[in-house]
Amino acid sequence: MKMTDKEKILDLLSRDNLSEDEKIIFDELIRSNSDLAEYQSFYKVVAELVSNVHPDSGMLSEYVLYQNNLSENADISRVIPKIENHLLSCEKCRFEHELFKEELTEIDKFVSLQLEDESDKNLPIENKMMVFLNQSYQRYAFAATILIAVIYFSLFTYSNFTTPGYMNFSASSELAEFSTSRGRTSDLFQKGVQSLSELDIENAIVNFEKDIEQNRNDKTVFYTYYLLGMVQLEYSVSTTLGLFKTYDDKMLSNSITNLLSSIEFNNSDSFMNIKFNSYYHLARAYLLGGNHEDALKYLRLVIENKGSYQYEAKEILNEVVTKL
Amino acid sequence: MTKTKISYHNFSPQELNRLLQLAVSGNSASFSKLSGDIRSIAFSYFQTKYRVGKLKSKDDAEDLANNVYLTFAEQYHKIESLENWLRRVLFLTFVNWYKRQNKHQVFEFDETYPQNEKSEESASNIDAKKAVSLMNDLKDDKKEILKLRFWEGLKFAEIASKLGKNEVAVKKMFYRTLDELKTQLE
Repeated sequence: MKMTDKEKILDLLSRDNLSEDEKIIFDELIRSNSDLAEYQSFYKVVAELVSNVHPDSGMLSEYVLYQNNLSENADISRVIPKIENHLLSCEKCRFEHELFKEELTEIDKFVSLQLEDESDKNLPIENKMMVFLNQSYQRYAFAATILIAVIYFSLFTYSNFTTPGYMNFSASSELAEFSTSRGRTSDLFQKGVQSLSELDIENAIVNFEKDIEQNRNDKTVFYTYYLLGMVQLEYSVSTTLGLFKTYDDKMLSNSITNLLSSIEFNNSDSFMNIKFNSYYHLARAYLLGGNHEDALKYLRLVIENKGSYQYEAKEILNEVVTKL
Repeated sequence: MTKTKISYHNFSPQELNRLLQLAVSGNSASFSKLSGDIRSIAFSYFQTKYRVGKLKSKDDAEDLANNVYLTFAEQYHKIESLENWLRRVLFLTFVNWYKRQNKHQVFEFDETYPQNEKSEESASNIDAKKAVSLMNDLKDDKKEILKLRFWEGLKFAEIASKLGKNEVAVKKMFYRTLDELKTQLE
Protein backbone atom coordinates (compact mmCIF):
# COMPACT_ATOMS: atom_id res chain seq x y z
CA MET A 1 0.00 0.00 0.00
CA LYS A 2 1.34 3.39 -1.00
CA MET A 3 1.93 5.81 1.86
CA THR A 4 0.18 9.15 1.78
CA ASP A 5 2.30 12.28 2.24
CA LYS A 6 0.98 12.61 5.78
CA GLU A 7 1.95 9.07 6.60
CA LYS A 8 5.37 9.73 5.11
CA ILE A 9 5.77 12.79 7.33
CA LEU A 10 4.64 10.87 10.40
CA ASP A 11 6.95 8.04 9.55
CA LEU A 12 9.88 10.39 9.19
CA LEU A 13 8.95 12.28 12.36
CA SER A 14 8.83 9.03 14.27
CA ARG A 15 12.28 7.96 13.19
CA ASP A 16 15.11 8.73 15.56
CA ASN A 17 17.88 9.03 13.00
CA LEU A 18 17.16 10.24 9.50
CA SER A 19 19.65 9.74 6.72
CA GLU A 20 20.71 12.73 4.62
CA ASP A 21 18.41 11.60 1.79
CA GLU A 22 15.49 11.22 4.16
CA LYS A 23 16.12 14.68 5.60
CA ILE A 24 15.95 16.10 2.07
CA ILE A 25 12.67 14.30 1.38
CA PHE A 26 11.30 15.50 4.72
CA ASP A 27 12.24 19.15 4.12
CA GLU A 28 10.80 19.06 0.62
CA LEU A 29 7.51 17.65 1.86
CA ILE A 30 7.22 20.31 4.56
CA ARG A 31 8.14 23.14 2.20
CA SER A 32 5.73 22.02 -0.50
CA ASN A 33 2.69 21.58 1.73
CA SER A 34 1.63 23.97 4.50
CA ASP A 35 -0.82 21.39 5.91
CA LEU A 36 2.04 18.98 6.41
CA ALA A 37 4.08 21.72 8.06
CA GLU A 38 1.21 22.33 10.44
CA TYR A 39 0.97 18.60 11.10
CA GLN A 40 4.64 18.51 11.97
CA SER A 41 4.13 21.29 14.48
CA PHE A 42 1.12 19.50 16.00
CA TYR A 43 3.09 16.27 16.28
CA LYS A 44 5.86 18.00 18.19
CA VAL A 45 3.40 19.60 20.60
CA VAL A 46 1.75 16.27 21.39
CA ALA A 47 5.13 14.61 21.82
CA GLU A 48 6.23 17.32 24.20
CA LEU A 49 2.96 17.31 26.12
CA VAL A 50 2.97 13.56 26.67
CA SER A 51 6.60 13.46 27.63
CA ASN A 52 5.92 16.14 30.24
CA VAL A 53 2.94 14.64 32.03
CA HIS A 54 3.47 13.12 35.46
CA PRO A 55 4.51 9.47 35.56
CA ASP A 56 1.27 7.66 36.31
CA SER A 57 0.63 5.72 39.51
CA GLY A 58 1.28 2.46 37.73
CA MET A 59 4.74 3.61 36.77
CA LEU A 60 5.51 4.99 40.23
CA SER A 61 4.35 1.76 41.83
CA GLU A 62 6.56 -0.24 39.45
CA TYR A 63 9.43 2.04 40.39
CA VAL A 64 8.83 1.30 44.09
CA LEU A 65 8.76 -2.42 43.32
CA TYR A 66 11.98 -2.02 41.35
CA GLN A 67 13.62 -0.27 44.29
CA ASN A 68 12.73 -3.28 46.42
CA ASN A 69 13.82 -5.89 43.89
CA LEU A 70 10.23 -6.98 43.39
CA SER A 71 9.53 -5.68 39.92
CA GLU A 72 8.82 -8.14 37.16
CA ASN A 73 8.60 -5.39 34.58
CA ALA A 74 11.88 -5.54 32.70
CA ASP A 75 11.15 -2.26 30.92
CA ILE A 76 10.99 -0.18 34.07
CA SER A 77 14.76 0.24 34.21
CA ARG A 78 14.64 2.23 30.97
CA VAL A 79 12.44 4.96 32.43
CA ILE A 80 14.01 5.13 35.87
CA PRO A 81 16.26 8.13 35.09
CA LYS A 82 13.20 9.99 33.82
CA ILE A 83 11.14 9.08 36.89
CA GLU A 84 13.95 10.04 39.24
CA ASN A 85 14.46 13.36 37.49
CA HIS A 86 10.78 14.03 37.71
CA LEU A 87 10.68 13.18 41.41
CA LEU A 88 13.41 15.72 42.06
CA SER A 89 11.21 18.53 40.85
CA CYS A 90 7.66 17.32 41.51
CA GLU A 91 6.32 17.45 45.03
CA LYS A 92 3.03 15.79 44.04
CA CYS A 93 4.79 12.71 42.68
CA ARG A 94 7.24 12.64 45.57
CA PHE A 95 4.28 12.47 47.93
CA GLU A 96 2.75 9.60 45.98
CA HIS A 97 6.09 7.84 45.79
CA GLU A 98 6.48 8.07 49.58
CA LEU A 99 2.95 6.82 50.04
CA PHE A 100 3.66 3.77 47.90
CA LYS A 101 6.98 3.14 49.62
CA GLU A 102 5.25 3.13 53.00
CA GLU A 103 2.58 0.82 51.70
CA LEU A 104 5.11 -1.67 50.42
CA THR A 105 7.02 -1.52 53.70
CA GLU A 106 3.80 -2.36 55.56
CA ILE A 107 3.07 -5.19 53.14
CA ASP A 108 6.59 -6.51 53.51
CA LYS A 109 6.27 -6.68 57.29
CA PHE A 110 2.80 -8.14 57.07
CA VAL A 111 3.77 -10.91 54.66
CA SER A 112 6.90 -11.69 56.65
CA LEU A 113 4.80 -12.12 59.75
CA GLN A 114 2.21 -14.23 58.00
CA LEU A 115 4.74 -16.59 56.53
CA GLU A 116 7.08 -17.69 59.22
CA ASP A 117 9.31 -20.62 59.90
CA GLU A 118 7.64 -23.12 62.18
CA SER A 119 10.37 -22.50 64.73
CA ASP A 120 9.50 -18.84 65.07
CA LYS A 121 5.87 -19.45 65.86
CA ASN A 122 6.43 -19.49 69.60
CA LEU A 123 7.96 -16.04 69.66
CA PRO A 124 5.71 -13.22 70.79
CA ILE A 125 4.65 -10.84 68.04
CA GLU A 126 6.99 -8.06 69.14
CA ASN A 127 9.93 -10.43 68.88
CA LYS A 128 8.74 -11.77 65.54
CA MET A 129 9.08 -8.28 64.20
CA MET A 130 12.77 -8.44 64.97
CA VAL A 131 13.29 -11.47 62.83
CA PHE A 132 12.77 -9.50 59.66
CA LEU A 133 15.38 -6.94 59.02
CA ASN A 134 15.12 -4.03 56.74
CA GLN A 135 17.56 -3.84 53.90
CA SER A 136 19.44 -0.82 55.12
CA TYR A 137 20.19 -2.59 58.37
CA GLN A 138 21.49 -5.62 56.53
CA ARG A 139 23.71 -3.42 54.43
CA TYR A 140 25.07 -1.78 57.51
CA ALA A 141 25.68 -5.10 59.22
CA PHE A 142 27.45 -6.24 56.07
CA ALA A 143 29.70 -3.19 56.26
CA ALA A 144 30.49 -4.23 59.82
CA THR A 145 31.44 -7.67 58.50
CA ILE A 146 34.05 -6.18 56.26
CA LEU A 147 35.45 -4.01 59.02
CA ILE A 148 35.53 -6.86 61.46
CA ALA A 149 37.61 -8.75 58.93
CA VAL A 150 40.11 -5.93 59.29
CA ILE A 151 40.06 -6.36 63.06
CA TYR A 152 40.72 -10.05 62.77
CA PHE A 153 43.54 -9.74 60.36
CA SER A 154 45.20 -6.91 62.23
CA LEU A 155 44.91 -8.70 65.53
CA PHE A 156 46.36 -11.93 64.23
CA THR A 157 48.88 -10.83 61.66
CA TYR A 158 51.80 -11.35 63.98
CA SER A 159 50.64 -14.47 65.64
CA ASN A 160 51.66 -17.16 63.20
CA PHE A 161 55.33 -17.06 64.04
CA THR A 162 55.39 -17.91 67.72
CA THR A 163 52.10 -19.59 68.46
CA PRO A 164 51.46 -23.35 68.29
CA GLY A 165 49.91 -24.33 64.98
CA TYR A 166 46.53 -25.31 66.34
CA MET A 167 46.27 -22.01 68.20
CA ASN A 168 46.93 -20.08 65.03
CA PHE A 169 44.45 -22.23 63.20
CA SER A 170 41.84 -21.84 65.87
CA ALA A 171 42.11 -18.11 65.59
CA SER A 172 40.81 -18.10 62.04
CA SER A 173 37.22 -17.03 62.46
CA GLU A 174 34.19 -17.07 60.35
CA LEU A 175 33.15 -13.53 59.64
CA ALA A 176 29.85 -14.16 58.01
CA GLU A 177 28.05 -14.33 61.31
CA PHE A 178 28.28 -10.59 61.56
CA SER A 179 26.46 -10.08 58.32
CA THR A 180 23.09 -10.62 59.91
CA SER A 181 21.68 -9.68 63.27
CA ARG A 182 19.65 -12.87 63.92
CA GLY A 183 16.68 -10.70 64.63
CA ARG A 184 18.24 -8.35 67.13
CA THR A 185 17.21 -4.81 66.43
CA SER A 186 17.54 -3.16 69.85
CA ASP A 187 19.18 0.25 69.86
CA LEU A 188 22.03 -0.93 72.04
CA PHE A 189 22.75 -3.87 69.78
CA GLN A 190 22.80 -1.59 66.78
CA LYS A 191 25.08 0.83 68.63
CA GLY A 192 27.37 -2.09 69.39
CA VAL A 193 27.54 -3.06 65.74
CA GLN A 194 28.04 0.57 64.82
CA SER A 195 30.97 0.80 67.25
CA LEU A 196 32.44 -2.34 65.71
CA SER A 197 32.14 -0.83 62.28
CA GLU A 198 34.11 2.14 63.59
CA LEU A 199 36.70 -0.21 65.12
CA ASP A 200 35.73 1.17 68.51
CA ILE A 201 36.02 -2.19 70.29
CA GLU A 202 35.68 -0.83 73.81
CA ASN A 203 32.39 0.88 73.06
CA ALA A 204 31.18 -2.13 71.14
CA ILE A 205 31.73 -4.24 74.23
CA VAL A 206 30.05 -1.64 76.48
CA ASN A 207 26.99 -1.45 74.19
CA PHE A 208 26.67 -5.21 73.88
CA GLU A 209 26.93 -5.57 77.67
CA LYS A 210 24.23 -2.93 78.15
CA ASP A 211 22.05 -4.63 75.56
CA ILE A 212 22.27 -7.86 77.53
CA GLU A 213 21.60 -6.06 80.80
CA GLN A 214 18.49 -4.28 79.51
CA ASN A 215 17.08 -7.00 77.28
CA ARG A 216 17.92 -10.07 79.28
CA ASN A 217 14.59 -11.75 78.51
CA ASP A 218 14.62 -11.26 74.77
CA LYS A 219 14.48 -14.46 72.80
CA THR A 220 17.28 -13.30 70.54
CA VAL A 221 19.62 -11.93 73.21
CA PHE A 222 21.80 -15.01 72.66
CA TYR A 223 23.12 -13.32 69.55
CA THR A 224 24.44 -10.37 71.54
CA TYR A 225 26.15 -12.84 73.88
CA TYR A 226 27.60 -14.54 70.82
CA LEU A 227 28.96 -11.35 69.27
CA LEU A 228 30.25 -10.11 72.61
CA GLY A 229 32.01 -13.42 73.23
CA MET A 230 33.54 -13.33 69.76
CA VAL A 231 34.77 -9.77 70.09
CA GLN A 232 36.21 -10.43 73.55
CA LEU A 233 37.92 -13.54 72.23
CA GLU A 234 39.65 -11.62 69.48
CA TYR A 235 40.34 -8.62 71.70
CA SER A 236 41.88 -10.81 74.36
CA VAL A 237 44.88 -11.29 72.09
CA SER A 238 47.67 -8.74 72.08
CA THR A 239 51.27 -8.78 70.96
CA THR A 240 54.45 -7.57 72.52
CA LEU A 241 56.63 -5.56 70.14
CA GLY A 242 54.72 -7.26 67.38
CA LEU A 243 56.57 -10.50 68.07
CA PHE A 244 55.02 -12.42 70.95
CA LYS A 245 51.37 -13.06 71.59
CA THR A 246 49.92 -12.51 75.00
CA TYR A 247 46.39 -13.15 76.17
CA ASP A 248 44.28 -11.02 78.44
CA ASP A 249 43.04 -13.61 80.91
CA LYS A 250 40.10 -11.55 82.11
CA MET A 251 38.92 -10.82 78.59
CA LEU A 252 39.34 -14.44 77.64
CA SER A 253 37.38 -15.53 80.69
CA ASN A 254 34.59 -13.05 79.85
CA SER A 255 34.56 -14.37 76.32
CA ILE A 256 34.08 -17.91 77.59
CA THR A 257 31.29 -16.82 79.93
CA ASN A 258 29.46 -15.01 77.13
CA LEU A 259 29.85 -17.80 74.62
CA LEU A 260 28.48 -20.22 77.24
CA SER A 261 25.54 -17.85 77.80
CA SER A 262 24.98 -17.67 74.07
CA ILE A 263 24.68 -21.46 74.01
CA GLU A 264 22.43 -21.47 77.07
CA PHE A 265 20.00 -18.86 75.77
CA ASN A 266 19.91 -20.02 72.18
CA ASN A 267 16.77 -22.10 72.37
CA SER A 268 15.47 -21.60 68.88
CA ASP A 269 15.84 -24.43 66.40
CA SER A 270 16.31 -21.77 63.73
CA PHE A 271 19.70 -20.80 65.08
CA MET A 272 21.32 -24.14 65.77
CA ASN A 273 24.10 -23.14 63.40
CA ILE A 274 24.97 -20.29 65.77
CA LYS A 275 24.98 -22.70 68.67
CA PHE A 276 27.44 -25.01 66.87
CA ASN A 277 29.58 -22.01 65.92
CA SER A 278 29.58 -20.99 69.58
CA TYR A 279 30.93 -24.46 70.43
CA TYR A 280 33.74 -23.91 67.98
CA HIS A 281 34.70 -20.46 69.24
CA LEU A 282 34.39 -21.66 72.80
CA ALA A 283 36.85 -24.43 71.96
CA ARG A 284 39.20 -21.81 70.53
CA ALA A 285 38.90 -19.77 73.72
CA TYR A 286 39.60 -22.82 75.88
CA LEU A 287 42.63 -23.65 73.74
CA LEU A 288 44.01 -20.15 74.14
CA GLY A 289 43.52 -20.42 77.90
CA GLY A 290 45.22 -23.82 77.98
CA ASN A 291 42.08 -25.76 78.92
CA HIS A 292 42.52 -28.60 76.46
CA GLU A 293 39.96 -30.89 78.02
CA ASP A 294 37.03 -28.52 77.51
CA ALA A 295 38.42 -27.42 74.15
CA LEU A 296 38.35 -31.02 72.92
CA LYS A 297 34.86 -31.52 74.32
CA TYR A 298 33.46 -28.61 72.33
CA LEU A 299 35.43 -29.46 69.19
CA ARG A 300 33.86 -32.92 69.30
CA LEU A 301 30.42 -31.35 69.68
CA VAL A 302 31.00 -29.28 66.53
CA ILE A 303 32.00 -32.42 64.63
CA GLU A 304 29.15 -34.56 66.00
CA ASN A 305 26.58 -31.93 65.09
CA LYS A 306 28.12 -31.32 61.67
CA GLY A 307 28.48 -27.63 62.43
CA SER A 308 29.75 -25.32 59.73
CA TYR A 309 33.20 -25.54 61.35
CA GLN A 310 33.31 -29.32 61.45
CA TYR A 311 36.32 -29.58 59.13
CA GLU A 312 38.29 -26.92 60.98
CA ALA A 313 37.31 -28.57 64.24
CA LYS A 314 38.57 -31.96 62.99
CA GLU A 315 41.87 -30.46 61.94
CA ILE A 316 42.40 -28.69 65.26
CA LEU A 317 41.32 -31.77 67.18
CA ASN A 318 43.87 -33.91 65.36
CA GLU A 319 46.61 -31.37 65.93
CA VAL A 320 45.86 -30.94 69.61
CA VAL A 321 45.59 -34.68 70.21
CA THR A 322 48.91 -35.23 68.43
CA LYS A 323 50.70 -32.64 70.52
CA LEU A 324 49.26 -33.60 73.88
CA MET B 1 -6.18 6.63 68.39
CA THR B 2 -7.77 3.26 67.71
CA LYS B 3 -5.35 0.43 68.15
CA THR B 4 -5.41 -1.88 65.16
CA LYS B 5 -5.42 -5.54 65.92
CA ILE B 6 -3.91 -7.60 63.16
CA SER B 7 -4.65 -11.28 62.92
CA TYR B 8 -1.57 -13.34 62.13
CA HIS B 9 -2.03 -16.70 60.55
CA ASN B 10 1.62 -17.71 60.70
CA PHE B 11 1.38 -19.83 57.60
CA SER B 12 4.42 -21.99 57.18
CA PRO B 13 6.28 -20.92 54.01
CA GLN B 14 7.49 -24.47 53.58
CA GLU B 15 3.93 -25.77 53.61
CA LEU B 16 2.71 -23.08 51.22
CA ASN B 17 5.56 -23.75 48.82
CA ARG B 18 4.85 -27.46 49.00
CA LEU B 19 1.20 -26.78 48.17
CA LEU B 20 2.28 -24.54 45.31
CA GLN B 21 4.43 -27.26 43.81
CA LEU B 22 1.57 -29.75 44.09
CA ALA B 23 -0.89 -27.24 42.62
CA VAL B 24 1.41 -26.58 39.67
CA SER B 25 1.70 -30.31 39.08
CA GLY B 26 -2.08 -30.51 38.79
CA ASN B 27 -3.24 -31.38 42.29
CA SER B 28 -6.56 -29.57 42.56
CA ALA B 29 -6.95 -30.12 46.30
CA SER B 30 -3.62 -28.35 46.88
CA PHE B 31 -4.68 -25.54 44.61
CA SER B 32 -7.93 -25.10 46.54
CA LYS B 33 -6.17 -25.11 49.88
CA LEU B 34 -3.43 -22.73 48.75
CA SER B 35 -5.70 -20.29 46.96
CA GLY B 36 -7.90 -20.24 50.05
CA ASP B 37 -4.88 -19.44 52.21
CA ILE B 38 -3.77 -16.71 49.82
CA ARG B 39 -7.22 -15.18 49.91
CA SER B 40 -7.24 -15.39 53.67
CA ILE B 41 -3.87 -13.62 53.95
CA ALA B 42 -4.99 -10.95 51.49
CA PHE B 43 -8.24 -10.41 53.34
CA SER B 44 -6.37 -10.02 56.63
CA TYR B 45 -4.19 -7.39 55.08
CA PHE B 46 -6.98 -5.41 53.50
CA GLN B 47 -8.98 -5.70 56.68
CA THR B 48 -6.19 -3.85 58.48
CA LYS B 49 -6.45 -1.16 55.78
CA TYR B 50 -10.16 -0.93 56.52
CA ARG B 51 -9.55 -0.73 60.26
CA VAL B 52 -7.12 2.17 59.89
CA GLY B 53 -9.55 3.92 57.55
CA LYS B 54 -7.63 3.50 54.31
CA LEU B 55 -10.43 1.38 52.86
CA LYS B 56 -13.97 2.68 53.14
CA SER B 57 -15.78 -0.55 53.81
CA LYS B 58 -15.32 -4.17 54.63
CA ASP B 59 -16.72 -4.91 51.19
CA ASP B 60 -13.70 -3.15 49.68
CA ALA B 61 -11.47 -5.48 51.69
CA GLU B 62 -13.48 -8.46 50.40
CA ASP B 63 -13.26 -7.24 46.81
CA LEU B 64 -9.52 -6.64 46.94
CA ALA B 65 -8.91 -10.03 48.56
CA ASN B 66 -10.97 -11.61 45.77
CA ASN B 67 -8.83 -9.77 43.22
CA VAL B 68 -5.70 -11.24 44.78
CA TYR B 69 -7.35 -14.68 44.70
CA LEU B 70 -8.17 -14.27 41.00
CA THR B 71 -4.67 -13.06 40.21
CA PHE B 72 -3.30 -16.11 41.98
CA ALA B 73 -5.54 -18.38 39.92
CA GLU B 74 -4.20 -16.74 36.76
CA GLN B 75 -0.55 -16.75 37.72
CA TYR B 76 0.09 -19.63 40.14
CA HIS B 77 1.75 -21.83 37.53
CA LYS B 78 4.51 -19.30 36.94
CA ILE B 79 5.14 -18.10 40.50
CA GLU B 80 8.78 -18.48 41.50
CA SER B 81 8.72 -17.02 44.98
CA LEU B 82 5.36 -17.13 46.71
CA GLU B 83 6.41 -14.58 49.32
CA ASN B 84 7.57 -12.05 46.77
CA TRP B 85 4.59 -12.71 44.57
CA LEU B 86 2.32 -12.00 47.52
CA ARG B 87 4.15 -8.78 48.34
CA ARG B 88 3.95 -7.62 44.74
CA VAL B 89 0.31 -8.54 44.17
CA LEU B 90 -0.94 -7.10 47.48
CA PHE B 91 0.90 -3.91 46.66
CA LEU B 92 -0.33 -3.61 43.06
CA THR B 93 -3.88 -4.49 44.09
CA PHE B 94 -3.80 -1.71 46.64
CA VAL B 95 -2.26 0.73 44.14
CA ASN B 96 -4.97 -0.06 41.58
CA TRP B 97 -7.64 0.55 44.19
CA TYR B 98 -5.91 3.80 45.13
CA LYS B 99 -5.83 4.88 41.48
CA ARG B 100 -9.53 4.20 41.09
CA GLN B 101 -10.38 6.06 44.28
CA ASN B 102 -8.34 9.07 43.30
CA LYS B 103 -9.62 8.91 39.73
CA HIS B 104 -6.08 8.95 38.45
CA GLN B 105 -5.72 9.41 34.73
CA VAL B 106 -3.02 7.95 32.50
CA PHE B 107 -2.02 11.47 31.51
CA GLU B 108 -1.87 13.79 34.48
CA PHE B 109 -1.18 17.32 33.35
CA ASP B 110 1.93 18.75 34.95
CA GLU B 111 1.00 22.22 36.16
CA THR B 112 4.59 23.35 35.75
CA TYR B 113 4.24 22.81 32.01
CA PRO B 114 4.69 24.92 29.86
CA GLN B 115 6.19 27.50 32.24
CA ASN B 116 9.34 25.40 32.51
CA GLU B 117 9.33 24.56 28.85
CA LYS B 118 9.81 27.59 26.74
CA SER B 119 10.24 25.68 23.53
CA GLU B 120 8.83 26.73 20.22
CA GLU B 121 6.17 24.03 20.41
CA SER B 122 4.85 24.97 23.83
CA ALA B 123 4.24 28.45 22.54
CA SER B 124 1.89 27.13 19.86
CA ASN B 125 -1.83 27.82 19.86
CA ILE B 126 -2.81 24.43 21.20
CA ASP B 127 -4.51 24.43 24.58
CA ALA B 128 -2.24 22.06 26.49
CA LYS B 129 -4.75 21.32 29.25
CA LYS B 130 -7.47 20.53 26.77
CA ALA B 131 -5.12 18.35 24.76
CA VAL B 132 -4.22 16.34 27.86
CA SER B 133 -7.87 16.02 28.76
CA LEU B 134 -8.66 14.72 25.27
CA MET B 135 -5.80 12.25 25.50
CA ASN B 136 -7.34 10.83 28.65
CA ASP B 137 -10.61 10.32 26.78
CA LEU B 138 -8.91 8.17 24.16
CA LYS B 139 -9.40 4.41 24.17
CA ASP B 140 -6.97 2.57 26.43
CA ASP B 141 -4.89 1.03 23.64
CA LYS B 142 -4.46 4.43 21.99
CA LYS B 143 -3.43 6.02 25.29
CA GLU B 144 -0.98 3.21 25.83
CA ILE B 145 0.64 3.71 22.42
CA LEU B 146 0.99 7.47 22.97
CA LYS B 147 2.52 6.86 26.40
CA LEU B 148 4.91 4.21 25.21
CA ARG B 149 5.99 6.26 22.21
CA PHE B 150 6.38 9.67 23.77
CA TRP B 151 6.80 9.15 27.52
CA GLU B 152 8.86 5.99 27.47
CA GLY B 153 10.46 6.75 24.09
CA LEU B 154 9.91 3.27 22.65
CA LYS B 155 10.24 2.56 18.94
CA PHE B 156 7.23 1.17 17.07
CA ALA B 157 8.78 -2.28 16.87
CA GLU B 158 9.26 -2.26 20.66
CA ILE B 159 5.71 -1.03 21.25
CA ALA B 160 4.38 -3.73 18.94
CA SER B 161 6.33 -6.38 20.80
CA LYS B 162 5.15 -5.09 24.17
CA LEU B 163 1.50 -4.99 23.11
CA GLY B 164 1.62 -8.23 21.16
CA LYS B 165 0.62 -6.51 17.91
CA ASN B 166 2.38 -6.11 14.61
CA GLU B 167 4.37 -2.98 13.90
CA VAL B 168 2.25 -1.81 10.97
CA ALA B 169 -0.93 -2.03 13.04
CA VAL B 170 0.69 -0.04 15.84
CA LYS B 171 1.83 2.66 13.43
CA LYS B 172 -1.62 2.90 11.87
CA MET B 173 -3.27 3.21 15.26
CA PHE B 174 -0.72 5.83 16.28
CA TYR B 175 -1.40 7.89 13.17
CA ARG B 176 -5.17 7.58 13.61
CA THR B 177 -4.84 8.67 17.23
CA LEU B 178 -2.97 11.80 16.23
CA ASP B 179 -5.57 12.54 13.56
CA GLU B 180 -8.34 12.11 16.10
CA LEU B 181 -6.68 14.46 18.55
CA LYS B 182 -5.94 17.04 15.88
CA THR B 183 -9.52 17.04 14.68
CA GLN B 184 -10.84 17.47 18.20
CA LEU B 185 -8.48 20.32 18.95
CA GLU B 186 -9.34 22.27 15.79
